[in-house]
Amino acid sequence: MSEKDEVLRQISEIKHHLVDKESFFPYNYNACHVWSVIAVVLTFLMIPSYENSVTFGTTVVTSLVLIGFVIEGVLTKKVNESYDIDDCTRRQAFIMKNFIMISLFAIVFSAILAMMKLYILIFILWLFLISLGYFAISFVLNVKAYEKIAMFNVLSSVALLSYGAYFGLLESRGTFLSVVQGVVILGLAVLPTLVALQQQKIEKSDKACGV
Amino acid sequence: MFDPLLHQPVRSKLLSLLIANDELPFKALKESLSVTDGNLSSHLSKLEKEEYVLIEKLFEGKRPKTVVHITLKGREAFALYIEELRKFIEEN
Repeated sequence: MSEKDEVLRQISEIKHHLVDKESFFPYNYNACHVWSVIAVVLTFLMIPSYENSVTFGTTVVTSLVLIGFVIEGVLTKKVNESYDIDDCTRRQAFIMKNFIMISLFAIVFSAILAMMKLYILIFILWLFLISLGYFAISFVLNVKAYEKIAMFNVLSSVALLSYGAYFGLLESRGTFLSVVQGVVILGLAVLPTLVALQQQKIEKSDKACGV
Repeated sequence: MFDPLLHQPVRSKLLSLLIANDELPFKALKESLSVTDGNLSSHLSKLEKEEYVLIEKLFEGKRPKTVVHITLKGREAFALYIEELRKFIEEN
């Protein structure tokens, strides 16, 4: 290998660590699978729970979200322990705080919308707000696929909101509601799970190659 | 021509990681660089000797833990090394 090739290889390695990967960020992608399951359960439980009573619905939603945060916390702690990291890294804390703030706002806003029986708007609200979280994740983890999911979700929520409002379907309980629920499951459960599986595969092959 | 301490794949990766994170536990560095304990220790001692890194040994309860910090001298040396690499590419 010529000296120039060697220098180019060094630059590429340094760039890889400093720019592409930016920094060391341990993350357990199983947390994504947990959130996907919670998203599906919430999609089906939300309306019956809110119809029982807004307080009951809010309790169900809050409890499921709390379960998600607790499981994510445990998984993060576990992965951090394997690297001798106490508590969590600054980036992990950033992601967690981001999602906690989004969830708090979404829970309160959902309760208000449930009082007006505007269930479709609740789904659109969650789809939109969680996507903002995905934008943050894509930046922190440097995984472009999360940015694409966020774009898909934001555009879907804008399209569904506009369509529903234009045709007076926002209080519908028919096909339009099912379409909205389908998009929510796709955008907040199926696509993130596929990306997480892909990332886990990459991590496995990286480890096997010793990268 | 290049700083011999930095013009080495493992050590340059090691310093890149430390620059991006300020400090990292020994275990995290070992995992990220895919090297053995002995190998990493040997690279770290060379960098510590030149005061490019600071190695802190502490206890968490009864468990020993080693944390590696990058020093100002290490940052400056790495910046200079990058500059040398850039100049070399421009001239060749």
